Amino acid sequence: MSSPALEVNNISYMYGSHHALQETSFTVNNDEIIVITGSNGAGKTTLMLCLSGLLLPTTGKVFVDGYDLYQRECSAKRKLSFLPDFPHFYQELTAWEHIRFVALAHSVGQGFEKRADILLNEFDLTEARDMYPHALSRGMRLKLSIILCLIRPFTVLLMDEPTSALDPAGTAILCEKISDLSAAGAAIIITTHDLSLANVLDGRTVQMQRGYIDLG
Amino acid sequence: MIRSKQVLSSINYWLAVVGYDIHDRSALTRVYLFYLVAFFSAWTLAVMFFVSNLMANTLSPLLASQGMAFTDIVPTISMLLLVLWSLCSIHKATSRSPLVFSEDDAYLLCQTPVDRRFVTLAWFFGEWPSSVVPILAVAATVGFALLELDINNGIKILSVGHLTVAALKPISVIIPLHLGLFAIVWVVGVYRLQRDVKRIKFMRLLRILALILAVTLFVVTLGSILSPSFFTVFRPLLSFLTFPFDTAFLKGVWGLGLAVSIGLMIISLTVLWQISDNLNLSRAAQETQHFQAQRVAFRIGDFDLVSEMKARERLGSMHVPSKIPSFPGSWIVTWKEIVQSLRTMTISRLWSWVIIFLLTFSGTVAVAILKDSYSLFFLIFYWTLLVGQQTSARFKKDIRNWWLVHSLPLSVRRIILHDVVRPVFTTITITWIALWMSSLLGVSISPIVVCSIPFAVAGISFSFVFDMLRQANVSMLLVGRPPDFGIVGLVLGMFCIAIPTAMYFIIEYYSLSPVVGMFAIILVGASLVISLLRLSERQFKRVG
Repeated sequence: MSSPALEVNNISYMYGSHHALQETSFTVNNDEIIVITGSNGAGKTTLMLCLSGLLLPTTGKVFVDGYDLYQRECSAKRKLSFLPDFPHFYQELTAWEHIRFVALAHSVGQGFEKRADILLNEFDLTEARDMYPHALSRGMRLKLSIILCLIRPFTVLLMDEPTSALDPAGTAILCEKISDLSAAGAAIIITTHDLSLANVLDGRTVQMQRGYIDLG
Repeated sequence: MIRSKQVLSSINYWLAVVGYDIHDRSALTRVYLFYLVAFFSAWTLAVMFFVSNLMANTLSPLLASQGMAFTDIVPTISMLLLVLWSLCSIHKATSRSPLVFSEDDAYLLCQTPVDRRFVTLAWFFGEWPSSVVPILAVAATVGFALLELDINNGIKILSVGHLTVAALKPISVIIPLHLGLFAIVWVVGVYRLQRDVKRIKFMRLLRILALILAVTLFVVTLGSILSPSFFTVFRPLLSFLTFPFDTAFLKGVWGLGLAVSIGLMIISLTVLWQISDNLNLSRAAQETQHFQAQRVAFRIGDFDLVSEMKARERLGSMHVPSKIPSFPGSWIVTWKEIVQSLRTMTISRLWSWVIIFLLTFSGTVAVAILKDSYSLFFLIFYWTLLVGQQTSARFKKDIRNWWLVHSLPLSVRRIILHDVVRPVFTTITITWIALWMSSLLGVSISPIVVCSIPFAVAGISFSFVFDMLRQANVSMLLVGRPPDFGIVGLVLGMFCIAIPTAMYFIIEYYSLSPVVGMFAIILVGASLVISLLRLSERQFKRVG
C-alpha cells in the first residue's frame, strides 16, 4: 500500500509555555485539498511552518510521501513546496533569475523556460520578469513566490495566506491552478481568512482555534 | 517649527547615545549634562592642541626642510580645501536635492501651500551647522599652530587671550565665507528643483564644469606650491582666491577679509531667498526620502538595512538576465553566488580584502621586527574579526531568505560550503601572497605557518557561521533579520589560530622536523575544521 502524501503524527509546538499548536495527527492524501481558516493567532502559520520543516515541532513527526521531514530532509523537500505569508527574495536576482534558480536547484533542467513564461503570463508578470524583487509591489512579489512554488515538481503544496495581497484576477488564476494541481494528484493545504476561497475550492474546510485543529 | 523639532530630535539622538535622558529633569541629570559638555569640550580642545602641536613642531620643520614655509601654505591649502568641498557639493547638488525630506514631510509638509522660501531657509540653517563645525575646528587648530610657531620664535607668551584671538580670528572670517559657499551650493540645488524641465541641460553642463574647475584648481594650487616658477601666470588668480584666508590666518587686513566674506554671504543668501520662491518640494521629497530613510536606519544602528538600501539604490529596478551559464543541481547555488557577487561588487567591498592583505603583510613584518607578543595578540584578534566577517558575509545574506534556502533539496553541508568556499579561498590566497611579500623583505616564514593558513581561515569562517546559526531564530529569519556573529564565534575563531600557533611554538621549541610539524598541523587543523562544519550543520537543522 502506498504512503499518504502527507502524514502528521502527534505534532505540537510551544512558544515558551504557550501552546501555539495543540498535539494533532492527520493524513492528507493525493488530490486532496484542505482549506484551514481561523482567527488571528489561531496557530495556522505555526502549523504551516511545522509542516514545511521551517519550524522544528516540540513533539511529533511529519512524513512527506513517506520521507521523514526532519530525518530525510533532502528527499522530503523534493516532494514539498511551501509558500510563506511574507516571502523574502535575493535582492540581487531578478524575478526571472529567481525562477531559474529554484527550477535548476530542483533539477528541472529542460523546458522550465517555457513553463516559466506560461506562468509569468498567467499571473500577469511578463513585463516584470527582469525586475528586482524590491521594485515589485507586494502583490507582485506574492505572485512571484507562487510561481516559484509551482515551477518545480512536488507532491505536497502548502500555502500560507496565498491570496492576502492578490488582485481578483490573480486569485481566480490561483484557484484554477490549485484545482488543476489537485486533479493531477497533488495534496494541497491552504490557510486563509478569505472564506470565499474556501467555497470556490473543492476541498475540506477546517476551522482552527487556539492552536487546536481536528483533521482526523 | 517642524524643522526645529527635527533638529531637536537629532540633538536628542546624540544625547541619548551618550546616555543623557532628556525627559529626566532631576538635578543629577543636569549635573551629568554639565559634565558631558565639560568633558567633550576638554577632550575636543585637547585633540586640537595635540594636532596643532604636531603641525607646529613636526609638519612645519618638515616643510621647511623642503624649502616651504608653513605660514605660506596654510591660506592656500585652506582655500583649496574649502573651494574643492564647494565644487564637490555643487556637483552633488546638480543631481540630488540639498533639501532632504522624510516620508512624513513628503505627505504632510510638501503638499501644503507653505511659503517655499521659509522652508528653504529653515532646512538650510538646519543643515549648515553640521557642515561648518568640523571646518571651524580645523580653522581653530591651524590658528593654534600658527600661534605656537610665534611662541617658538620667541615673540609671544601664551595666554588665554592669545588662544582666543588665534581661534576667533580665522573662525570669524570662515563662518560667513562657508555660509556664503554653502548658500551657493543650495542655490544650484534649488534652481534645479524648479518646475522648469529645460534646466536639465544646464545642470549637466554645470556638473561637468564643477568637475573641470575642481581638477584645474587642484593641479594649479598644488603646482604653485611645489613649482612656483612654472605656475607664475596663475599667481594673481590664486592671490585673489586666498585673500580672505590670508587675512584670517596671517597678519593681513582682517577687517577687509571679514567684509569680503560677509559680502559673499549676503549676496548668496539673497539669491537663495529669491530663487527658492518657486521651489518644487514634492520633487525634492521624491529624491531624498530614500536618503533620509538611510540616515534613520544608520542612527538606529541598523547597518544591515543601510547596506541593503544602498545596494537597492545601486542595483536600480531592472537587469537583463545573467549570461553566466547555469546547470541543474547544487551548482546553481554557485551560479547564484557569482551573479550576486558581480552585481554587488563595490570599491568598499574590495577594500575589505585589501585591508586583510595590508594587515597580514604589515603585521607579519612588524611582529618580526618588534618581536612583541602583545602586538601579535591584537593583530590576530583583528585579523580573525575581519576574516570572520568577510568569509561569513554571504552566508548571513543567504539566511535572510530562509524560506528559499530551506526549501532547497540540498544537504545543509552543501548549502554552507557553497556560501563559504569562495571567500575562504580568496582569503587564503590573499594571506599567502601577503606572507610571500613579507618574506621578500627578509621575514622568515615557516612552512608550518603557510600550511596552517587554510585551516585557520576555514575554521574562523565556520566558527562565525556556527555562532550566527546558534543565535538564529526562525521568526526573525522569516522576516529577513539574521543575527550577527557574537563573542562565541570570535572566541572559537581565535581558537582556530591559537591551536596551530601553540603547536608551531612547541615544534620550534623542541626543534622538531618541519615535515612532522606540517603533518601535525594538517591533521589537527583538518579535524578542527571538520568538527566546526559538523557543529554548524547540526545547528542549521536545529534552527526553529
